[in-house]
Amino acid sequence: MTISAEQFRGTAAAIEAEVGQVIVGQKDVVRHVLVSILGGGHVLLEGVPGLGKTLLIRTLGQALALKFSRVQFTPDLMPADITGTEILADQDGRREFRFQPGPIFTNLLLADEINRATPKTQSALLEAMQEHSVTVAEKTYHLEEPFFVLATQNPLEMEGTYPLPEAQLDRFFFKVNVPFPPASELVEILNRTTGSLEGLAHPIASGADIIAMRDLARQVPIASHVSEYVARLTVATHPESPEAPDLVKKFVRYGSSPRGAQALILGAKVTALLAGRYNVSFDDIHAVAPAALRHRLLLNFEGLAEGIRTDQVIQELVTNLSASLKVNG
Amino acid sequence: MDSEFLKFEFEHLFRQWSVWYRLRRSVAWLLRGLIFGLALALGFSLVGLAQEGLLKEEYFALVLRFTFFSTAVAALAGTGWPVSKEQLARFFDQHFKLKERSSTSLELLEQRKTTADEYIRPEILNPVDDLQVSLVEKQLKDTLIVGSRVRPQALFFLQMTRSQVILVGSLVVGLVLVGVFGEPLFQRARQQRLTSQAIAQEAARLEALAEHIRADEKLTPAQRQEIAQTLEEAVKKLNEAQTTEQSVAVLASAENQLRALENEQAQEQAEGLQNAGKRLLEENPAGSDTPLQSFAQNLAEGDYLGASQDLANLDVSQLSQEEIGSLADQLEEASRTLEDSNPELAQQMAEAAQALRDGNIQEAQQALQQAAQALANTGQQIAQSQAASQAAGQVSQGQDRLIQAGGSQGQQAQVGQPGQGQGSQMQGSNNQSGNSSQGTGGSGAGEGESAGQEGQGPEAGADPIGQDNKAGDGGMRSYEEIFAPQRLGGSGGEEVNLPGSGQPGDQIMGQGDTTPGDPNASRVPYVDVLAEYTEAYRQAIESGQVPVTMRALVRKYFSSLEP
Repeated sequence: MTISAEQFRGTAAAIEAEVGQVIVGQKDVVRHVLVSILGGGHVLLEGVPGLGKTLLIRTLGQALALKFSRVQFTPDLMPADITGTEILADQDGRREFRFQPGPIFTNLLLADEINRATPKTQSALLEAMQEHSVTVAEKTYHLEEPFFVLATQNPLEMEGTYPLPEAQLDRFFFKVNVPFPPASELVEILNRTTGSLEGLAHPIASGADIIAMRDLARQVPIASHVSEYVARLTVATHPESPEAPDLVKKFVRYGSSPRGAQALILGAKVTALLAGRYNVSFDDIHAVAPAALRHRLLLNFEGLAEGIRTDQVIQELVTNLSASLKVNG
Repeated sequence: MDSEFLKFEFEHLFRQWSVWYRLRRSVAWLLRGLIFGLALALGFSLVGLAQEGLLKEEYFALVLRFTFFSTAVAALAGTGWPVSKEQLARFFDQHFKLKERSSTSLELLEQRKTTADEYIRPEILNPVDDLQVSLVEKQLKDTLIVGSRVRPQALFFLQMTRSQVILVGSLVVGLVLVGVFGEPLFQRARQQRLTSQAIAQEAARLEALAEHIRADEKLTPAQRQEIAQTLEEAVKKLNEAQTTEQSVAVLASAENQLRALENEQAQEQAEGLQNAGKRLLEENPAGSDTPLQSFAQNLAEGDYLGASQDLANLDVSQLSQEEIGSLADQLEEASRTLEDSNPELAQQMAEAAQALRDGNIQEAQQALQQAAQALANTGQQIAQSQAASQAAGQVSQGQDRLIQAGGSQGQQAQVGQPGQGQGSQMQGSNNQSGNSSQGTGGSGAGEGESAGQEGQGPEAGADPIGQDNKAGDGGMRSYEEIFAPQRLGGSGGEEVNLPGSGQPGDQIMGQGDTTPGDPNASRVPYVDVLAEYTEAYRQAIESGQVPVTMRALVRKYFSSLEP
């Protein structure tokens, strides 16, 4: 199945509109989640409780007409609770082990409050997120495409939580911060959630549509100097890089992995198509840079102690490198 | 839409933009060229002024040329300097806000691989060709649509940056200041230039003189070498001289060396020989067939070598007794005439005459040969002395010219500056004041009586002495029209009271009748006194006691005293 650029734009706009029927405001969040899905990646939503993270993902699941599973991560959650396990079952009078698939065997997995599970359980997602497969009892089970993990976490409550390991974080395409809504949006939220009618999203796109859109996005051309800029940007996130700005050299312990560069380009391609263009621009790169890099920059002790935010560092990076893009006549 | 058509349209659009880009760059580089040219002109001007080698007109020409050429070259370079298409595309993306459309289109048309898919997800890379082609076409079309809305003319309107404006303004102000306040330096440069030219001209003159000396057949090779070498050494030193003072010193030294080659008695001998020749001619007028007719003719004309040859060729044995007697008389007459000026020659002629009278032909012939040889030697000495004198005279004139050049430069340099000297300054065409530029105003400045009389200072003496007269010409001659104290030989003027004699009420008047002394009662010959003083002034000049600018004046003064 193939899809045209116009259909791509139309479908994406319809999805956003449908989610907007339920979710008030948070357009940037919705846009980033959508870009991530169309780019073929997983999303980590971070925000304080009550901002509609779970609702957003559930609504998105409804609009996409995909199989949806939700796992509430808790400290006593075990890996098998996610991936599935071998159970002893009767089969024609014989008792044998049979694989019981876990909730991960879905298209859209909501890993709610993912940082409440132990690292052991969190790591159960690693293979699924990267390889789109699950290995249980020496047997590998491929997950149905498309497969996305949309996780949420609460940045405030530290007690009883387990920060995600770097390998896990790196597998998320985007990390999207969910801000507190402004008063105008809050009024609308109150109106919708305290009345008799609850919004319900209708299916807009199927799994096949999503795959086709993802394939189309990958065909968007990108000029070589834009690719080179992405590479320079990624390298500059490392403190030992000559192009790294002072903020990076001072407060960053480790920079982005190549997955960050991939996320930048794929996210920019989707953004270009959504903007009605057929090529990637520097603005597209800059638009997705915070979401693609903020969870991939590891601050050092000084950075954490100074209260430096990775978004500040990314902004400094972009500002520094953008200056070098100027072409003199 | 056909891909080829899209490609054609894009390339057409790209070329159009490129023309505007080159125009824009031409203007931008022109501005930079202007700044560069102004800076270069200012730098060279300052260096030229520091070295005092830049004239005002050269300064203006330099500024104009540097500015014009640098801007022209920069503009041309800006138009024609090669630039890659990729660079151009990025420039257009940036300035037309095309969001990398043109650079992407260009790369797609250049058949470059522009996707990073292989790098990102090689395991799932499965390009759908139709999809890709469709996207490429849409991308090109999108670029053309957005590009058609662009106004490339906007590129041409280039704004100067603040720093460029400041730089251009500063440079222009700097150049104007140099032009206005550099006037004294321009004048000095002009003076230096004229001095150099004058020195070069004098060097050329001396070279020509040396050549002339080398070609003078009247001189022996040794004499030629001696005089020419002196001149050539002077030329060499002159070429190394930088200032008027140095060059005049060189010429003065050369003149002294040449004067040393002069024979003081040569002139006397020459006159004696010529007088003898004239007297012989009177006795043997032209047309008379006497043995010494040709000899007398050559002697009277100053051709001593020819006369010597005539004497040597005289074959006494071929003469009749009557001719021998006549020859003896003539030789005796010549001997008497030459007795004072050339005793040796006179003696030999007398011996020859006596031998002829004694009938000793052989001895007479031998005496004539010796006389011829002596005459030849005398002739060569006279020729050398005359050549050295002539060369010294020319060298002396060269000094005058150099000093004159310095003086005229000084006057030019003084234009616009208030005069410091009171009274007259020597401004005649032949004046000797070379340092008027320094405000000395020449020596002997009076009390302003001749102020404003350009070129005509008061004359020393009522009767000017004729210029360029030669020694022996006699008479009076004028010398430089210089300022001289009014009382020196001039008309009467204000009386000056000199200190008294010691007697109360006595006064010695500075002007009035003096006791002239008895005529012709001098016990020391004038020539001797003059020679003594001439030697003294030469020594004073050589030892540097006399200022360079005054040397010619002193020299001319003593020359005017020569009888």
